[in-house]
Amino acid sequence: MLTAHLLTKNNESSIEAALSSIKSWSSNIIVVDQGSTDRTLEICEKYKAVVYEKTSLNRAELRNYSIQRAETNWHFMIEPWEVLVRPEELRRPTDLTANCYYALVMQSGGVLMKEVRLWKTGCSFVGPAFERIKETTDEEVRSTFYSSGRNDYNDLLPLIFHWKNRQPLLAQPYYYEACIHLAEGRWDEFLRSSEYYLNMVLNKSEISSVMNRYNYALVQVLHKGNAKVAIQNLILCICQRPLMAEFWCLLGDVHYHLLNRFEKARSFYENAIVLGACRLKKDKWPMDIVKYRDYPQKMIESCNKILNSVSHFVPIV
Amino acid sequence: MSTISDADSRFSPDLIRLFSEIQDNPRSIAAYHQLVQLYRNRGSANEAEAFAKLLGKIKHADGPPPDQEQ
Repeated sequence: MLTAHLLTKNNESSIEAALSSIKSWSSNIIVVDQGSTDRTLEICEKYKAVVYEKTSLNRAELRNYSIQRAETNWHFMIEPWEVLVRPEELRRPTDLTANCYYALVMQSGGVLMKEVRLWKTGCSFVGPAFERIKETTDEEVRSTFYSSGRNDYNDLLPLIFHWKNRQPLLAQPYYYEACIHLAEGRWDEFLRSSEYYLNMVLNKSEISSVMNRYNYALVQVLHKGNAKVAIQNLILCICQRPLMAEFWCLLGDVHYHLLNRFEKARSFYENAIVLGACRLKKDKWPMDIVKYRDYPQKMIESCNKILNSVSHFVPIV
Repeated sequence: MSTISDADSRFSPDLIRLFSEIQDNPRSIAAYHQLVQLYRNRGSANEAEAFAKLLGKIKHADGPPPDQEQ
C-alpha cells in the first residue's frame, strides 16, 4: 500500500490529468492545498483525495505535514502539472529494500531528470521553496513522470525572499531565485542571481552549481550574444563534467552562431556525440535527450553544407 | 559577469588549461592525449576511456591533424 502526495494551488487546468494517471492503482491520495480559488478542490474530491488546507507552511513543511497524515508505509509525490506515464515499480513498493528511490521526470522541453519520488515512512523533506527528500540514495525505480511545467512561480518568490533574509550568506536561495527567473524568461534578473550564487557557492562541482553555470552560458549565448563569457563558463562546466553532450553542443553553438567558425563548431558537435555516448547509464545528472540524439548530427550536417559551399566558391578574377 | 577568476580556484588548473587549449584547437592530439593520461592518473576510468575513444577517432579522421600541420 502506498500514498500519493500532492501540493496544490490553483491547478484546475492540469490536476485532473495528474490524478487520473494514478487513480487506477493508488487508492490513497492526500492533497495539501495552499488556498486554491479555482476548481482544484472540486476536482480532487471527484478523485476521492483527502484534502487538507494549509497556507502558513513552506514547501518542505507542507510535504512533511502530508506524510504525517498518511497511514501507509510507502509514499510517492506527483506534482499537479505532471502525469505518471510509467507506473511499473511504483505499484509494487513491497519488493523494494532501500528507504527512497529516484524516478525519471521528463520535462516538456526534452530534459530528463532523476528525482527522489518514492520513499518509506521515516524519510522527511527539507528546503523551503524547492523541497527535496533529506535522505540520499543510489537506487532507482523504473517509473517516469511527464511534466508539462508549472504555470507560475509567484507563490515561491516570497518564500525565497524570506529565506534570503533569514540566511543571507547561504548560496542556495540565490540558486532557486535564478531558476525561477530563468523559467519565467527574466534574463537580466537570472544573470544577476546566478552571479551571486556562483560566487557564494562553496562546492563548485555539485550538480546545481554546474547546471546553473551552463544555463548562465546559455543565456549569454542566446540573449546577450556574449561569446567570450559563454566560452569561459562552458570550459568550467566541461572541466567538471566532460561527458555532458549539452556542454559541447553549446560550445559548438557559440562558434556556429556567434563566431561563424563552422569547422570548430563541427568538431565540438562531434565531441558531443562521442563523449555524450560514454556517459554512465546510472548518471543522476539531467540529460537533454535532444542534444544526445538528433541535434549535434543535424548541426554537423549544417556545418558541412556551409563549409562545402565555401570551398566550392570560385572567385572572379 | 561570471568569469574565470580567483573565486573559481577550486577548478583543476590542468583541466582548465587543457580544455582551453581544446577550445582554441578542437583537434589538438596533444591536448586529448594529456587528458587521457590525466583522467587515468586520477582513476576516472570512464572519462579516460571516452577521451581515448575520441582521440582514436581524431587520429583516424581524414587529413593531417591541425597540430601536426605546423
